[in-house]
Amino acid sequence: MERKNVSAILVDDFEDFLKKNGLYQKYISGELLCDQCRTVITSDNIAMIFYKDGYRFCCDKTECLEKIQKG
Amino acid sequence: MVIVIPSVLGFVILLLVSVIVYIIKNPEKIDKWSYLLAKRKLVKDEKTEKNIISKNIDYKITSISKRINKQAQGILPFGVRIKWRTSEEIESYVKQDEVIVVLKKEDNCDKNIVDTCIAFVPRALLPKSRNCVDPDILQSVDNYLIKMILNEGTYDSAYNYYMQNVFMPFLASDPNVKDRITTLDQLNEVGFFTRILLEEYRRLGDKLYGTAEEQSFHEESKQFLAFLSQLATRKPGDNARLGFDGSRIKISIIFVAKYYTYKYQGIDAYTRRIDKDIEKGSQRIFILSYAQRYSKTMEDNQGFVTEVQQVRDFQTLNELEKLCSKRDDIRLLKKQKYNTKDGTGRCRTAKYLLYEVMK
Repeated sequence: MERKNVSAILVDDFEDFLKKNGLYQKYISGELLCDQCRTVITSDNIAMIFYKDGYRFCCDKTECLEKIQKG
Repeated sequence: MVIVIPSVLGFVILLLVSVIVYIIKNPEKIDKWSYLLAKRKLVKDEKTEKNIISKNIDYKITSISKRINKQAQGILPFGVRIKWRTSEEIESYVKQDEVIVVLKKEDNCDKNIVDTCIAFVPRALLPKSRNCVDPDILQSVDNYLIKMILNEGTYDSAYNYYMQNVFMPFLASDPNVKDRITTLDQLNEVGFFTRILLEEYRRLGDKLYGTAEEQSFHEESKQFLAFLSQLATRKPGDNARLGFDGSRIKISIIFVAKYYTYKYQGIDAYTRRIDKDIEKGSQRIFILSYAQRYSKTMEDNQGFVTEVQQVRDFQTLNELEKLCSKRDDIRLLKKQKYNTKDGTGRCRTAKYLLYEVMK
């Protein structure tokens, strides 16, 4: 059975990821928003990162995670 | 002493070989054992915590995948192995349509486990059928499967977390959702959920994946679910539709069940049904039977009955299978025994044969 990797990072590495991808400034100025509910993304509420015409973020609200799951 | 040592050595070698064979056949057990071992470690460092989560999820998903793929091949073609990434490696992964789950170092591992399942299942379940099956059905199937995954194995609080925070609110969101989940439960109880429903959805996806028609079969997938639902909820003696004639899904179901059918019409009753189903255009025929109790006589050399045993077997189904093996218009794809519940809720052993109609 083929194994598919689900990638995971610790939240401490999240800021490194943003710095590397030129998103850190937007992050600290509160411009990174949840793709579903438009809540400001912080290290407390980030749950998922995915790529669709650019990096997108999802907060940890279950409604938002479910909508990502649907779409 | 000289004789004893080779025997002891032989026993040890046999034991080792058995353990190795067991591990090769059941690799997910290693994840389970390492998960249980890690949980019992007194000092839990960061590495152990990550190990607990990874092993727990890997074990659950691999166990369920194995069980489901045994019932119907290719339903969950992917396993999962969580890889903890540094920032540098994430970049290339994200651009390859991967989902990254951001895990927090908090005491509540349950949410991490549940979030991983929510991210994983829609990607892994019926990957080629996601566009041709009705999205509401898929969402219910996804949630139903996540529930099965989290309920797998030893008691785990992640299951309760999922039920309280995700599944129950999902059920309450829409009355149609509750009906759909109830239907999936009913199908699962009678063994139709994976063997017929997901099997046919997978075939639909295999045929349509990447074509322009992909999105045109949502209604047919809904009707197929309704067709199976009326079969799963019928009581003994009820009349029910036994064939589904869609534009892509064309199957028929034969129950080898009524004692009087075989007694008064013989095996021809079933072979005639197969002929009719082929004539009507069925592409696949599912033949299902419960184990039947009958008396088996044991005779001595002179033909005198020495003993009468009560046995449970699939006498009529086996006879039908023998006859079908001589036909060249159908081909046996699969046969399998499984445990199920009948219309009265009683647990029964059942067996099914899946035939493909040759054109």
